[in-house]
Amino acid sequence: MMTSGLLAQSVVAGLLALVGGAWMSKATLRLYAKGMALLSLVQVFWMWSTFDLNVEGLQWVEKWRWMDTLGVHFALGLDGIALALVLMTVVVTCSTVWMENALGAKAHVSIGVVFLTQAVAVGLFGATDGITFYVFWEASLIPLFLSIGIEGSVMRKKAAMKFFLYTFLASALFLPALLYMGLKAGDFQMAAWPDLPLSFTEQMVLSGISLFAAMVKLPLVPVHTWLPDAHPEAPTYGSMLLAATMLKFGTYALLRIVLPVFPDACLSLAPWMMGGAVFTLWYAGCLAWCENDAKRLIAYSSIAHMAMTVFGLFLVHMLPESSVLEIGVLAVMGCVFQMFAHAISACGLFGGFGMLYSRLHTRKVSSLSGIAKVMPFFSALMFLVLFNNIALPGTSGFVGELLITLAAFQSHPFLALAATSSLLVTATYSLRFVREVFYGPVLSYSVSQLKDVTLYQSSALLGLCLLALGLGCMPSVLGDLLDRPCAALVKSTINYKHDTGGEA
Amino acid sequence: MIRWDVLLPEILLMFSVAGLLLGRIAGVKSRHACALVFGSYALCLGVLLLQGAPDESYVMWRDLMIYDRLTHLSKCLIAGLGLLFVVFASGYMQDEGMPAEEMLLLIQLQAIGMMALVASGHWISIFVSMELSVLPVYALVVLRREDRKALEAGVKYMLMGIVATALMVYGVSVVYSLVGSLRLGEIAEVIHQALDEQATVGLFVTQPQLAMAGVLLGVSCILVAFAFKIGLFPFHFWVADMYEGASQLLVMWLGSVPKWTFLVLWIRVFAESFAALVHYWQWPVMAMAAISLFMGHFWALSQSQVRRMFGFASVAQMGYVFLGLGLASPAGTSASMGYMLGYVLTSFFAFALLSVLRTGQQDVQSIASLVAWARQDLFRAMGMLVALFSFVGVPPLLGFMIKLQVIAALVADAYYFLAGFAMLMSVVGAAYYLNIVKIMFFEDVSIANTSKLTIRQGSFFATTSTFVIWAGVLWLGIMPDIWLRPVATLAT
Repeated sequence: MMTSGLLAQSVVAGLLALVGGAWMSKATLRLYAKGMALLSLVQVFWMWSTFDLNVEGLQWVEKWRWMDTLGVHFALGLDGIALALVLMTVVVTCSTVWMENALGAKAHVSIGVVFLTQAVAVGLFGATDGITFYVFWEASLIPLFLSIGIEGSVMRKKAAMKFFLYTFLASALFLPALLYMGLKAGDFQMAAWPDLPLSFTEQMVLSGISLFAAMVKLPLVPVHTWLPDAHPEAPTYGSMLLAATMLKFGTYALLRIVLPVFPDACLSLAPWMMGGAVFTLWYAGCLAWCENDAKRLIAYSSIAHMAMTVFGLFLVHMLPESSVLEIGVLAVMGCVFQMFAHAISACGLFGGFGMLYSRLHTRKVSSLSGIAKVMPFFSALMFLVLFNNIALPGTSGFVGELLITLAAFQSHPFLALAATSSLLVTATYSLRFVREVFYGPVLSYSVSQLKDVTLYQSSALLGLCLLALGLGCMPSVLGDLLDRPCAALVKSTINYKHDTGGEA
Repeated sequence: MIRWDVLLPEILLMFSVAGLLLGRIAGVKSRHACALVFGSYALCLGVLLLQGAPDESYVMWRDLMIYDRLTHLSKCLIAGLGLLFVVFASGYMQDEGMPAEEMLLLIQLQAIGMMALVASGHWISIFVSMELSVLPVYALVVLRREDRKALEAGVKYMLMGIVATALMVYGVSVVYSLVGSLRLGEIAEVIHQALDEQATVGLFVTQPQLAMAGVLLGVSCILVAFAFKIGLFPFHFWVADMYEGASQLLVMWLGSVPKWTFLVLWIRVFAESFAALVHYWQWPVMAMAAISLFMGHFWALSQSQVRRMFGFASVAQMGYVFLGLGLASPAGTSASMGYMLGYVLTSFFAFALLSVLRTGQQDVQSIASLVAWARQDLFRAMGMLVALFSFVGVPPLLGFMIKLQVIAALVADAYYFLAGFAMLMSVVGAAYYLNIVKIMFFEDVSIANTSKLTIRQGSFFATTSTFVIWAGVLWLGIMPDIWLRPVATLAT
């Protein structure tokens, strides 16, 4: 009952906030949210402490009959990867709740959305049944649609509609694809699907549909256009949830469905996907470089970081057969690390910028200057988050990038060079952000009147920074969790069923 | 042997009709009329629940009346929703100054007609009960005589109804002239024998091909009549007019329950009686369903009137139902029944919520006038939010679960393109359903202040009923097995 306990607690917490929020004062609501977030955190740590590292496969498997006529179950279970991502989800929830001014003016809506999104994410990461997975995949749209629409800024209506329709369209065909696999296997448990005797054409069509759904969620260029529109309009906590939690759903679909179930199709698509990922890395990086809207800038940075996870995952297919098991694990593990690290930097950047926005009410990078002079402590924390974003050694971002790059250099040095050199762009736009926003003279009156944050106000940022440093210095904390499931994933990824011309 | 106990619900309703007529003469207040009707539905539902679903089907009067699980479920649905309808209707009619007894009388008669229709196994009883369930509607639509839209809708609906009935009667008479029976079971037998070239009746022996062509002519006439009645493309044009012309309250009833009765009739006629001819009627049904999906969604997209939009949307929603029925497999039929059940409940719910809204002196007309509903009445606006997301088909709501069944049935029968097409069309649906959410919830305060929306604070009963349906729609979505299993056993 571990996973479903956390899921149920999140749902109840969210619904109570939505329903009871009308009768509670804002301060009580905040206190309630913090209490609920702590409760979730305690649950996750308890799960972590009781997780058996030596067991292969899923733990705490739960299965309830849901739709008997179809053979669909409501099924949950966690392996190391899923547990790491659930941990990430709860960290994100905590940081949104603690971050100063992150929650919107209607606190009960904000808190409801935060906990319902946590519920959806826990359900999705824990789902072992294909339809259960899809239910959470789509359900994630409702809270964020409402959050953007109700609490967003001026263009919120358009942004909310675009966000919903774009992602809804992308995953429309995903359901028939999942149903096809489930009905063909006679079992909707995703664990049964890698053994399906799918022909190459079937694999190509199904993987194309699933890849498209995942690519839009991720998002990958050229289907990324909804994200830079959604972020500036979303409230601070909405941006944090969207970037830190929801973008991971795309990678998770690749991990759980696309790679293990369609090995042959992925093998043929791998060059294209990696090319697309490298292009996205550069393209989104360059867009971030010339972007003047700070939230759009962070959004492009997110796109680039998520592209790195795609690069890492499809790299497994490009590795030489002799060393694929050892090196492939590095790539996949790096990818999960990258997801975790990006959640930290996205939360920190959006949350930290939200704190600035609540004081200055501008998103323009050019109209900010000299923040470091008036808010030195806050700036120091933001620098750390940005270093995590650039993936400097000692931060969690470095671990992910290093693992993926290491694996890439083993097989395709030029491709690796193309991907890793995009870090230069990342560094450039991040440092530009530092230079323009934090350094320089204090130009405006409103900036000069700013006061530095207190320790209490910055607690969430501080926590994220410590987490980034902690994971950067002791990556094995997470690495132990990821070892076995990543190895299992690599094995099923290269379990080719057809001879596709000796590319492997 | 005639079992009067199974006829008890209809008898109870007949008594209440008689009571209403007598009360009209005696000049009873409408409050008491409402109480009478409410009581009769409550008794009716009580009797049905006490009786429980029959284990085996029971036939009376040479198939004129069939009493099986499907009949029982349908009667429960009619009585249950009728009960809730009276609760909402009483407040609405007091507000509008509508003649309550008149309307309730007509609705009661129509309910009796529908109860008889779902129990019919013979073309004579089908014809009589169908007319009984349709004739009151002509009068209901034009109940507000001063409203030109209502008059137009009434006339259109009546003409359409007459054409459809004429077509159906013509088709039936052709089939009867060849087969020599009006009993659905016997017709099925004869057609089956004819297809196996073992027929013993009239023209099937001497000129089998001509006879078969005649039967197909009859079947196609009946098919068109069905498409008219249920509002499938290209016979859907009256639907939006009817939705717009009839009042908010009437759409709540007419847009939901009659659709279910026609589905039951479809199952009796096409899925059972004409089952052997499936290869002939399958493709037209699938094509009509697919085009209805496409056209309905796109037409709804361009509407600015609330009820017109829901009218065209219902054309599209019927498309999903008939995609499942067109499969003519147990899985497809049960998926369609589930879909129809979910649609009927959600539509009933949505219009129950809309029925408390007014702009100025009349029902809400334009979608834009729903602005900032959420600011004025969060409870009902949240209910509408659930209903709209359910119509879109977002999990974990009822609308998703029913769509999932239809899509799964299509995929299982290898109609991959239709499955994909149906899913893509639901995105178009999302665009206009969510537009309402946008208007209700996302508007600026400055625009919200211009809202002319007034909300009738319903009675305690109405609020409780709203809550009951709300909880029901949520619960049926999260726990789909409650309706999936019974519906699956019905279809086999």
